[in-house]
Amino acid sequence: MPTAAHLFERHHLAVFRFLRRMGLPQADAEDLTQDVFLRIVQALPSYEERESERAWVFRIARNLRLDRWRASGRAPATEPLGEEKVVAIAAARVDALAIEQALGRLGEAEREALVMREVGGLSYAEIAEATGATPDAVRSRIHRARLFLRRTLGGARRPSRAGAGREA
Amino acid sequence: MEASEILSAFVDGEAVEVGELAAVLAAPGARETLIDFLRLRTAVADDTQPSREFVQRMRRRLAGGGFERTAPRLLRLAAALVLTTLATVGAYDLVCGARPPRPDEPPKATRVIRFQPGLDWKPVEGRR
Repeated sequence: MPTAAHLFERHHLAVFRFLRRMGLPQADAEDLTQDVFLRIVQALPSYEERESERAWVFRIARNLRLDRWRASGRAPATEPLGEEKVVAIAAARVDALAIEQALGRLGEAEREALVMREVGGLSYAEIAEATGATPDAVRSRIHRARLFLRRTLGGARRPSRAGAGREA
Repeated sequence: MEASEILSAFVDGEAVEVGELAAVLAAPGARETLIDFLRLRTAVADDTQPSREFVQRMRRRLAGGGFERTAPRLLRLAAALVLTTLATVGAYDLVCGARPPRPDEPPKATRVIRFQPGLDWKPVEGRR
């Protein structure tokens, strides 16, 4: 059986980035990542090795995020993207902000599935295990998310990190 | 399944039917769709990091076998302090209070009765 320390080393970065991409500011993402591993320490005795470790960790992260969301009675905290902030940020960051905004316009289920796949590296089966959906539903959600982002961000775009701007 | 859905699953390394994939790839626009999906992957990927302090704090806590927040740690400290005090008092009581009496030592008084002269007794002349 893995220890909590091992699980932290293996998964904390993916969990943290998942929470960031789901819209949480840095401090909230760290706070929730801590809660995830606190829960893991408590839940470790009931962990069954036949299930995917990554899916198990992400299920805990997902549920805690939803719990916090419900407890606050509002949508999960996101970093505000006011116009003044966008203007103040260097042009190189605009693409990243556009992606953030586009992700924010995705449906919760689509965003969650896509982020688990692209940021967490989970397979469809693992996402299904973590979210309680079927692998077919996961495939469909990820596909819908990609089509939406493609349409929203423009067809053959190049992200800023690749060193190029949006194509005409 | 839609053509772009097959490409989406293919990009993710999921199982797709080879014949279907071949047909989809031969269709116009398939190349662009495939490239767009891969570019979206790069765009959606997140490279932010939790702070170094956070990671070190977590490592310390998890390596120590305990995972406690600040408040419970203080509570545990207070509880340890109370237990230490009680243990010290108990030990002192054991050593000093429960020592067995020596054989020639009279037993300790359990009750003290005081008589006031003139009130509880009267002295009689010629008698002690």
